[in-house]
Amino acid sequence: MRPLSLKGHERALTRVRFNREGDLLFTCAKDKKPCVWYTENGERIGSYDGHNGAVWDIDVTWDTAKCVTASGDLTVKIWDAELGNCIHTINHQTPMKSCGFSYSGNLVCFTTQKMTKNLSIVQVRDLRDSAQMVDGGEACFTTQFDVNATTALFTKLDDELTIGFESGLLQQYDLRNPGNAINTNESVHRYSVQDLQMSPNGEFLISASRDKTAALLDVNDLKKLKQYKSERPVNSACISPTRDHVCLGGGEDAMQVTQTSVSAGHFEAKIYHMVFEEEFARFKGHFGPINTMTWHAFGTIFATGGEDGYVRIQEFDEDYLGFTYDF
Amino acid sequence: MVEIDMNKENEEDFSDPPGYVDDITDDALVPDVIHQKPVIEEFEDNCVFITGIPLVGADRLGRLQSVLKKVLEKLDPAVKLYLPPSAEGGTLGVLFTEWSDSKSAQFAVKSLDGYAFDKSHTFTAHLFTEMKKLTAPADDWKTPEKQPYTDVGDLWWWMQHDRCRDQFAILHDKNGVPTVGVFTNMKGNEPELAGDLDKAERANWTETVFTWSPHGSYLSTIHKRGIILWGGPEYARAHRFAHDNVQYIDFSPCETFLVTYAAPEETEKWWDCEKDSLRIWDVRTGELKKSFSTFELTGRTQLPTWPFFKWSFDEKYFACLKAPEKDKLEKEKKIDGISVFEAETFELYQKRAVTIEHIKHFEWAPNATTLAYYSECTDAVPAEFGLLQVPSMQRLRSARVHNVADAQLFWQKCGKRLAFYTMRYNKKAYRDTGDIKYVGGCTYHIDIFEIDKKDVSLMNLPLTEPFIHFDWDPEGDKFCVLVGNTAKATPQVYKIEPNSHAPKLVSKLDPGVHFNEVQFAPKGGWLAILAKVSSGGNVYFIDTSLAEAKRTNVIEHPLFNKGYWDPTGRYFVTCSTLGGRSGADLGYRIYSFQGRELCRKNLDRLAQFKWRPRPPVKLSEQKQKEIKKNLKKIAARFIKQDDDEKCRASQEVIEKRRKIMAAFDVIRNRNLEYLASIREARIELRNGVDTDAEPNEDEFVDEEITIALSTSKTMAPLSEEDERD
Repeated sequence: MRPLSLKGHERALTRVRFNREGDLLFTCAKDKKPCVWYTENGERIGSYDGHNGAVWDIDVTWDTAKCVTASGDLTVKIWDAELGNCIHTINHQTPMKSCGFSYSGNLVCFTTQKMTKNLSIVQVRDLRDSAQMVDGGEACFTTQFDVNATTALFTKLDDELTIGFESGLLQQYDLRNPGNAINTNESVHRYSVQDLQMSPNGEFLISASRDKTAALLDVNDLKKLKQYKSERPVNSACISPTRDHVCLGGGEDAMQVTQTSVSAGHFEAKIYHMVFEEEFARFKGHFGPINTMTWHAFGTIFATGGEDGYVRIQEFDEDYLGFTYDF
Repeated sequence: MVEIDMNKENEEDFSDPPGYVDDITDDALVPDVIHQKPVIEEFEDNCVFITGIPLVGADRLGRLQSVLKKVLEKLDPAVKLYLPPSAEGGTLGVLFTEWSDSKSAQFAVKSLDGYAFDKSHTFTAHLFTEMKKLTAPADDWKTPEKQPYTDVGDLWWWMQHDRCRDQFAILHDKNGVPTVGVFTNMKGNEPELAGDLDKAERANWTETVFTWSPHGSYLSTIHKRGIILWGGPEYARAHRFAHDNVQYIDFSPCETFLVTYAAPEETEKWWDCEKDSLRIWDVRTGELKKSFSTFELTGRTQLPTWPFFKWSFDEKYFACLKAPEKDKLEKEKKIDGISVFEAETFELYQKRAVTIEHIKHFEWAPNATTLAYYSECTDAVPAEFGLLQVPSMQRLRSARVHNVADAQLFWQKCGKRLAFYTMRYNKKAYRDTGDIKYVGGCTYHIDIFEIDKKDVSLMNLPLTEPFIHFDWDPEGDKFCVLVGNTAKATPQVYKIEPNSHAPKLVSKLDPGVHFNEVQFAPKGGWLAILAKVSSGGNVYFIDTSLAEAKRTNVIEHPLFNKGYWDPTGRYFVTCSTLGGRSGADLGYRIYSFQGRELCRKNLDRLAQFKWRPRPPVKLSEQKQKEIKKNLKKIAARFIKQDDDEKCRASQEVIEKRRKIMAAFDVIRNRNLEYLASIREARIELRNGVDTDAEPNEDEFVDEEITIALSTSKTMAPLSEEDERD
């Protein structure tokens, strides 16, 4: 497979995600149309039309039946993944910044942006309960914060949520107790948490932060296990499904990109050993910061989405496959 | 005239109200002018104060007076005596004398100081003005207590490293706190902390910057209240020097003296606190040797350069440019001299500065008390480059060059040669703004004085392109000059051959972009050409030890702003520190002398990187030659040690990794076990589908995808309608 550079979005990418099997790639960007592609050849299958603003996040259920998107047009939409029609729309007062499905795909969580009077809100709704899926419907879990919740995802089946904040704070909530966080980690990151991703087996969590680091966390208690240092803000980080490797993507702030040469911008994705915290490889491709990245289930294919508007699907070469650490 | 009247009405009235008394003194109004106001001291200059007069009672006073008079009138018949009487009417042992003018007063001091009046009385004579400088000790003054000697251990312990590793110190932010750390360069491996964890690396060790002393014995740190020197294997506090708000420090070349400077704190009344703004200390005893007023030295309230004093190689003399004199209109004249001080007395040598008209700058020779100076040219007088021997103040040699626009001096480290670069213009014109503009292009020259040749020979090398930078091989006969411009800079290596009248071009190397500095390795032979603060950030490594100079490697370190050879010339470091170009990744990279990268480290807010200097080699020349001859034999031992260490290091690394991995696996297995224990619940959540199981290939659905392997444009055949058009 050649490296594929997919130009289907008009603006900066905000999320790339493979479905569980890895044959489809779901992407969304700051334009209005999330897309789905064949991983194999990079052909675009179609887009989910209906949003009227930047789409900040997309997720797909384990069986690739439904998609959820969070948009700056103040809505979260649930789509039929295959047919592309919108099943539900949840409205809110402020832009929606992230969304995700639970392990079963029955629950959907999303976070909203804090704006003037409106606090940042994290909510969970049950797709099976039609009362929750209408405008003004009561959510099965809701909490609000004075600081922006940038990202949220289900970390323990359908029971627990992990939330990352703009202040660098990380918290875990049990769905049955929206009042109190069960775990908190305020020491690991100094600036905004940009991305949280689970390891494919579900035993670890990786957080990417603007403080130029990514951290491997214990999914059960949010304790820091490892920390990976980069020279630039990290926008996204993910864990290899097959080997003890993690990959970090990010780069110089979009605002400053015009002032820096490409080599100084650090737009490469950087691969670290998950346990020894050492960087051992980089791969180039984007000419702007990487906003989002994900590892394919095979462990040899990789998708990145950049500020430059491109999605890149790359396959690792022999050197990577043959590379081992002595221990 | 109505208009004028109108104007008068609008004009503000500045005249004093009737009956106003001006009670503001000039001292309060213009204290800075008053401070510089000359004072008439004629009378005081004529007075001499003599002690050691015999103590006599009132009865013998008259006799003493006449004897004294006889003695003194031999010097000057116009002398007036005054013997202050004691309560009983006798003498106090002191005598005031007034002379006809200051000259005879000075003569009297010279002749009377130490004069034996009789067997038991010897005079001590001082000018009255000098006596004014003496002040009574403070009421609470006590004899200083003897300080116990603090033994910080061997100051040169680091030189005894069995692998001869060199150290360096860095200042950077560690966990958000400015931290100074001393490390040992480990050749290819991660640098190791040079000492105990809490000793060799300390948070907030210095409040601004640190420096090494010139021989590397001490690490000096700057604090609000003064300077601290740290030494020995534990980096213990060796010496302290109290100087509030100290800003700059500088050591004399052999670490004997420390010069410190603090700008006057109150800028409103700087003259009150600037009298001792510049201080010289004895490093070993901690004693304040001398303090200077910056204003007296420079005629300015602020220092023009740092280091302000330039020391001769043997610390016998130190010198600075003389303060510019002022003409009648209070306009500063050009500087016309060098003030040379003797380090024994800390007084101006021969009580006056050496006159060199229009001097611009000067440098001490690295191995002799000779000064090289450059004085600017004026419209009438050409520029002068000269060598001045101290203390004889003889000019060994000077060269005059017309139309010099810019010049720099470069001593060879062994002191054998001095090169000076000149940019010479064709014609000079003045712009309307008063700026000078050179018309008709400029030429660039290197001139070389050979100190050890008879009468100091001079050779000239005209350059074909603009000059950028220059450096000598510290010991050998070669030098490298960088010429060109930022887009194309060419390093050229020259050799000076005996009995030749011009340097011979050895090699012209490949030109590069943005090169701006040449640095020879401290022991010669190898050369680095640097492109500092450029986006490419290249460094050329060049071997000049062979017949032809050869480039071995080119490295890239984008936006690095500093590059240094280690004191042995085995390693080279490039670093980008605070104060460089914004957006650079702060950190350092260490290379072998051939330009092979050995180590790379990124550090938050890196402010300083400094190799620890080495003291001069004390081995005899014979011994050094012997070592050079047997280098292969000696090297074999080190190579073996290197290999052994590499083996051991990788063993150690593997061992360490195993431990880390084992600790990690405990957590991983615990989490995986937990996941396995809730397997049933997970399958149930996904409608009975076990998504952890290997996919069953029989259930795969074949799907055909069409891939366009290539696309090309073909013209569609024209339809009939189109053809008709």
